[in-house]
Amino acid sequence: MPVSKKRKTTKHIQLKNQFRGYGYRLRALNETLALLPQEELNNIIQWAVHASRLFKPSFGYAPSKFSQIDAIPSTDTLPLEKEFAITCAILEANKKRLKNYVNLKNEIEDLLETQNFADCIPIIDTINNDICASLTGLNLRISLTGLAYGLEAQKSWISSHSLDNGITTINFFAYWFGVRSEKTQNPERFKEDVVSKVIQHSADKHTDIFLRYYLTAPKIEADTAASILSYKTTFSFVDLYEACVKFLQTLTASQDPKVEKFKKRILCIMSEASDLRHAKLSTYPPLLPSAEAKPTSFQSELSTRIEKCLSVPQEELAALCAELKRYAFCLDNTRFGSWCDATAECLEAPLKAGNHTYHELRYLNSSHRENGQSLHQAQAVDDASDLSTVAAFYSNNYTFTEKDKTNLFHSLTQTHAITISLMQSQKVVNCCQLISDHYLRDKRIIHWLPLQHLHVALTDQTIGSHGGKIEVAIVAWLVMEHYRKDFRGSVQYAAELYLQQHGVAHPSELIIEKDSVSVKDIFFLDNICSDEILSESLEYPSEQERQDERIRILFKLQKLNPDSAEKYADEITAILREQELQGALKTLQLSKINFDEEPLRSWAHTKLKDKFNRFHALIDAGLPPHNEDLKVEIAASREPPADNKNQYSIPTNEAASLFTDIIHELTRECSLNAKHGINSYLSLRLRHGTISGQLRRPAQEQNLLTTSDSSGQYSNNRYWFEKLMPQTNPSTANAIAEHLAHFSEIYDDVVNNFTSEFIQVRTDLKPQGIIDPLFTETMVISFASDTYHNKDFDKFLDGFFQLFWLQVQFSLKNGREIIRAHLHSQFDEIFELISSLLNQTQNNNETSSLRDALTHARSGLNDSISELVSWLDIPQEVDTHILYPKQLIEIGCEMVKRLHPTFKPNLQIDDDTNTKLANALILFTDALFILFENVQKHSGLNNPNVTIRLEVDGHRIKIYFESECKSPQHHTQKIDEARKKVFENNYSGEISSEGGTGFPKLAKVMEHQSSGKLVDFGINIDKSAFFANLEIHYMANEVIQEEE
Amino acid sequence: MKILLVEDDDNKRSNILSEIENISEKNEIRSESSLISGLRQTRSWNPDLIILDMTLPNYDGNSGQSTGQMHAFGGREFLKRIRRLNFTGKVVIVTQFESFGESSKPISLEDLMNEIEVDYPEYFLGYIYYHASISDWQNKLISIVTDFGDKIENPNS
Repeated sequence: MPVSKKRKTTKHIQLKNQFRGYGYRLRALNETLALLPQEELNNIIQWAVHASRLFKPSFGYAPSKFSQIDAIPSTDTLPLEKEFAITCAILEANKKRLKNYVNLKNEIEDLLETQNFADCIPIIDTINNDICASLTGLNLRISLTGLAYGLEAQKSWISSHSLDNGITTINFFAYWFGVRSEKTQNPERFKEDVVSKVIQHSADKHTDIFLRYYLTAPKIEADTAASILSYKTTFSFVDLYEACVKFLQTLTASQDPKVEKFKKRILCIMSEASDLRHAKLSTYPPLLPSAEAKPTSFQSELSTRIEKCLSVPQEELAALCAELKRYAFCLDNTRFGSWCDATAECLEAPLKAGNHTYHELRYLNSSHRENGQSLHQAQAVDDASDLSTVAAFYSNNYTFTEKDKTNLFHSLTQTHAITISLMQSQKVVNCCQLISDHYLRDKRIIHWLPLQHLHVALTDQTIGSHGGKIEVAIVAWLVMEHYRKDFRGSVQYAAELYLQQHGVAHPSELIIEKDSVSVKDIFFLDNICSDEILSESLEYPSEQERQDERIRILFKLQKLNPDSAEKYADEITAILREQELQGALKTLQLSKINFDEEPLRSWAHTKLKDKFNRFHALIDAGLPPHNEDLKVEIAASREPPADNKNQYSIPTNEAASLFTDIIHELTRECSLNAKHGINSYLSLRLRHGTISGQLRRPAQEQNLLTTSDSSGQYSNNRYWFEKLMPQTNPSTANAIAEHLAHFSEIYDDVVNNFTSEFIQVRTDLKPQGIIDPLFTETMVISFASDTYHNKDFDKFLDGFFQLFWLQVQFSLKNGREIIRAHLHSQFDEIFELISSLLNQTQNNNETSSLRDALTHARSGLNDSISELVSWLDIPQEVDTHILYPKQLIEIGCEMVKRLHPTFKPNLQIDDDTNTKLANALILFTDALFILFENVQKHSGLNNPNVTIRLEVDGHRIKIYFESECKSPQHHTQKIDEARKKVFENNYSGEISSEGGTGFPKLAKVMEHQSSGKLVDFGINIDKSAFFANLEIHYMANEVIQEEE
Repeated sequence: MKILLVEDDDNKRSNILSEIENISEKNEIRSESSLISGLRQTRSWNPDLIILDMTLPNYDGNSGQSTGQMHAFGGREFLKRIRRLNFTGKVVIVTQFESFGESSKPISLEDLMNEIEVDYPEYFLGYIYYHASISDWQNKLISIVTDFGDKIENPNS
């Protein structure tokens, strides 16, 4: 005996040691299960709970992969009995915490009864944070957030709690459970989508079963129950417990005596935890007093009731159908098969064929048979023959009376059967007529339509051969809207054929009289001729033309359907606003190069007017600057002084010298003045984040770029490492991740070099600058000749500014081609380099997704470069946009979002101004771009909450900007320094430099526009928020009061 | 022979054009850069051969206009739509991607082309994997276009 005890102890220690080691846990557990009696199993599991971090609370919502949780691997499943034993042991080990969880869950259940969703949220947060993080808790949190605060709040919560770019199982789960389960989704499509996406997402069978179980809640079969339990033992005891409760519900319904032992054990655990659901489940099911006795009696009763229904059509039909469904659910498969046969016998009497209710019941029978497909009995029945009988009936008798139609409508399952029948009989038009009639009478019928069958049936050939029928277009639209979005092209095809039938190319040309307009006409114009469907049409070569057609359609609808005129007016307004925004964004793209004429004019009056007057005095005195002398002076002015002596040399011709001085100084100020010159705009609108965002975006969208730390070291690419790991080995994946870090570094070098060397005014320090402001000799001589006869300094300045723009335009023309060639060659080199590194690293097949991503990035980059080059022109359009302040803010935000694809702030604008503004586009967007760019860079969040309040105060619009900030204390010092400089007016040196807070630039934007000022900005530590308050002054003629 | 190139990538378009322009002076060549513009051109011009990209935007992006939605399977959509137009010519697909669709469950180029060959046998002339720095695609394209041109000129040979 002592020997045996020692052996056993050794085995325990060995098992425990194995349990500590990675990858041996399952084996250890299996050995434990094989060796130890049941009572010892509990002890081992309890020890395992303490040894592993698996069941500790607050380990976070998002382990990157379930298999990485340091716990029992879920790769193999034990028989259900053993999984269940482990489950019970785990729950036993967590008894105290389970009770705490159930107590709080009970509180939630109470609150839910009164629909008090908001108060549930702190409780579920306590469960998740203090007791145990679980998918069940996550589910509940997501649902409650949606119910209490709406869909947007739910989306925001999900995104703020998601990690790792949404690639983890947990994020997948949260996304589908939250966003994709929004109310407007068709449940069938949701279910179908989930199943297909789960297969695409997950790498193993266990994850498949687990996700499907949670997201689509199918019935748990015995073979999947073990998998689910196994999976849940790797996550949390709360999930495990809830799976047991769900399992119990299914077991109870199945009435299988073999699973009684599971039931008793789970009920016992529920009772000990004081779960309110225990009382309900322990007396379940209320429907059948005895599982053994009910089928026979119900079966005989059924025959009588069917007889009754058939003799008096529709009587009690709804109640009977509901009862049959419940009955079918509670029967096991064998009994269900018997019931099918018995019901079929009741229906076989030939005299009853042709009766409407007969076919309804028959359909119900056969559809239930489909549910029981795994049965031997059901398999023996030819379902198709049942349906073809139904089909034959409706194909030959498609002349419904009004009463039939009403009956049909009320018994919606019938519609399903008839639709399938008609489709099988190739009676597409009849079928579409039936569906569209019923749908337009009551849209709830959609849930009963066999959309999948319709999707298969409505091929191009079918649509083509029944072209011209409005009903075909309506049904195609229903399939698209409620089943497959990618059916849009077919809807458009059906609509096009309908238009052709009526001899028009555009829906707005349809001739429909108000007196004779039908519901179908309205539906066609409203829904089928939507902007979305029109985008498939070949009639509109651009978005603008398509939107214009939609506006014409909406005007037509306003006349034909005045009851909904307001809805159509709203859509027209939305389209017009969208067009305004697009137009404004286009204007802004072409307004990046600028200088401030008015401040420079004032400066010239102060500094240069005396020289100008002296120049004219010399000319009046007979000393004109001969062309040859002027040439010499121009040449001298373009050369840097060779030594100090030259500064004191006597000019060969004083008038010529004065003239070149004036031109030289004006040119310098227009180009390089820190506040008003072109260089300050290059810094504000291009160098400060815009170029970098534009050139990095295509590669960022493909997750190819990483960032550097404070020492300049670029991090390895984790996204591609994880993505490639399943197909390759760790060392190769790691090598690729390193290559991509290097790729990011040289990519950023090209971007930074381009920004700092090319997007500049050309000087000795920046010889590659694209803007060469120096005039040619001919231009100066010609301008000098004009100036002899012009003594008006302002006219002279007008002429100069005109000439200056001409020179800038000329230099940009050359610069664009240089830039295009430079960027293409630099980036081509980088992409070729990374491609060759990848080819050396490993097998082609394993990195095809990465190569595709590089191709996408390269192609996108070409477009980005083309767009960037188009910005490098002098402004071609005058700002004629008249916009609401709210729109102006949205434009500023949109400009930043376009450059940073992951930046999606939750923007709330509170606009009390009730006005539209003219001439405000540039000012607003310059200011708002800086603010949003700052939020993007420094908030530490991809989806920060940004609140903007707009108020009118006399002739001022006050803007209060507040943005959430993750670590405000990190920015306090920098912002305080910037604040000091701005309010001491000591910031002009920083306007044309990049990096930093951007506030000197903001102060410059607000100040020089002379219509506004930066009132204050800073950090509000208490609210963890950054704020900025601005004021825009406006003239009366710049404001347009909103029309009622 | 009338050849229509439907391709949105500027570089790729220019490389393909420079190859096919040298094949025969008799060929008339046009190019479009989006699904809709390509289909409009097909409808109005009725080319003999279409060289088609697989991933296409809905509209041209000229003059800063939005290109609209990007169709990952734009080429397949194009084939479906030309059937509605009763197009009678042939199509060769030139793509620079090795897989298509969502990254979690992509379809390989080969599988996609097999599907297209089965679904659109009346149009499908073949496909070419394009890579800017590998010359295989040029030879294959020239060969397909030349052979098809010969067949049009000598339908009985």
